[in-house]
Amino acid sequence: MMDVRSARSLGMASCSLCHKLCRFVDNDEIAQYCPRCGTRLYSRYPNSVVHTWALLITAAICFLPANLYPIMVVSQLGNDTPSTIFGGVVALVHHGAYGIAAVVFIASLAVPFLKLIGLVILLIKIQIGWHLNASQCTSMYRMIEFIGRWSMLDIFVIALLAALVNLGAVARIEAGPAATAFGLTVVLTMLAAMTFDPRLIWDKEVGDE
Amino acid sequence: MSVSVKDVMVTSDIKQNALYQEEGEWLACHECDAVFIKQAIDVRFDAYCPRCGCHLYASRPDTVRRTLALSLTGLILFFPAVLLPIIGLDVLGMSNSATLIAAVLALFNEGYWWTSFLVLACSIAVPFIEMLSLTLVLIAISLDHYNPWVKSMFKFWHLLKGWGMLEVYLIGVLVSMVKLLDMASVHIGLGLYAFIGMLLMTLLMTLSLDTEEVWEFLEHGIHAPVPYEAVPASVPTAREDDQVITERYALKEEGLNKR
Repeated sequence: MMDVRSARSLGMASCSLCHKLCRFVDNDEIAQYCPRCGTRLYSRYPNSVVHTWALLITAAICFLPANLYPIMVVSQLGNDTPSTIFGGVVALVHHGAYGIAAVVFIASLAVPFLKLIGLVILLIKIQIGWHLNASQCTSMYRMIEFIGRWSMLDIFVIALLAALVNLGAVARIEAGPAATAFGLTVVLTMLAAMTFDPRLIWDKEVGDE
Repeated sequence: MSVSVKDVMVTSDIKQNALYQEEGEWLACHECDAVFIKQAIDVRFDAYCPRCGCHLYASRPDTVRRTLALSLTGLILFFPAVLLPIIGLDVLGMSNSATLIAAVLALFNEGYWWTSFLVLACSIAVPFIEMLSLTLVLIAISLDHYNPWVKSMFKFWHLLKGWGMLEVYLIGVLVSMVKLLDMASVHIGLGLYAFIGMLLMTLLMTLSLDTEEVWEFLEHGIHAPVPYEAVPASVPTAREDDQVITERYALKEEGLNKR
């Protein structure tokens, strides 16, 4: 076992913004600030678990309309064909664009869903003290934080298509009501990943104190 | 809350006296909170947390000047990238083209104002403000100009980090091209080249920027950090260098009291 001590057990806290290690008294009543950048110091983000749960549950609720409502309405010569996110993926597979279909499927269906599941696993691990490998949990968290932004892909595609295919009665592409819900899901899961404090994963691992 | 910040500092000094001496050289992993003594690393190398594998700090050659060059190039490329059409469309003798701004406006005109705001922020506003704020910070550093706003601006840059999504947008352009291929003929606009250039500049900026060095520069005004804690408060025969350092320490105390 590596000889590791946490900053908290040594009476220090690293600044959440500039990562400077500062002296810190573990008392929420006293406001302490980073001497380098002036950000308020916290040993752990306050109420991190509760905030993350709240954002995650909201994101999960938004994920339903995002998948049930049409995200895009294609009208060609007077025919309106609304398509959902999954319908768009299926259409791409029918066109034979398997690579792009895989990218869209991963970015707009798999990633938000796996992000929700992953963060729920991390929260449950922290709350009930579930024995999971802390190193793997941190890797998962890092992955969740990194891939979150890629879900915005579908929103960008719809914005571009709506601007580009605007040829009056011949062809038109418009955004559907699911776009707002999907955008909310992406932003809320990104915020959830940001408010989650990965140091909580390691708190039970440190043998000191 | 009668305890002032200064009192807290003093009490913790007594408690952690041994640590206090070397504080400038210590760092904690921001993902697992493990404390390490900061080791000097070679240029172009990165330090990772041995416990959780998180990226801790990096050493980059000539970080201020290189990043400044890249961010200025990015700022110049920003205008053609936003104003020129990125993709064009030809169908049944009609043609249409879309710019970054047109994509935002298309959503806005359909009534999706929230989604259009999101696209505006992630594809235009955040990348621009990121590049602009970083450029101003780096110009201020290279001119040795100190002002509280330089720190605020770098803080602002830290807060925006992660919300600029140019690389996602590029894949979005590719996906929409593939979706349109069977319906019409699609051609690449001049704006896309500028856009790719801007994207490359932002990626290279993140690779060449050593945030720790910029922060140390903003804190001490010198490239090599001087741990001010190591200098005793009362030096019997104070040399010129020591005085400068204690002065800086005094300034910091003042700043803390103000808050």
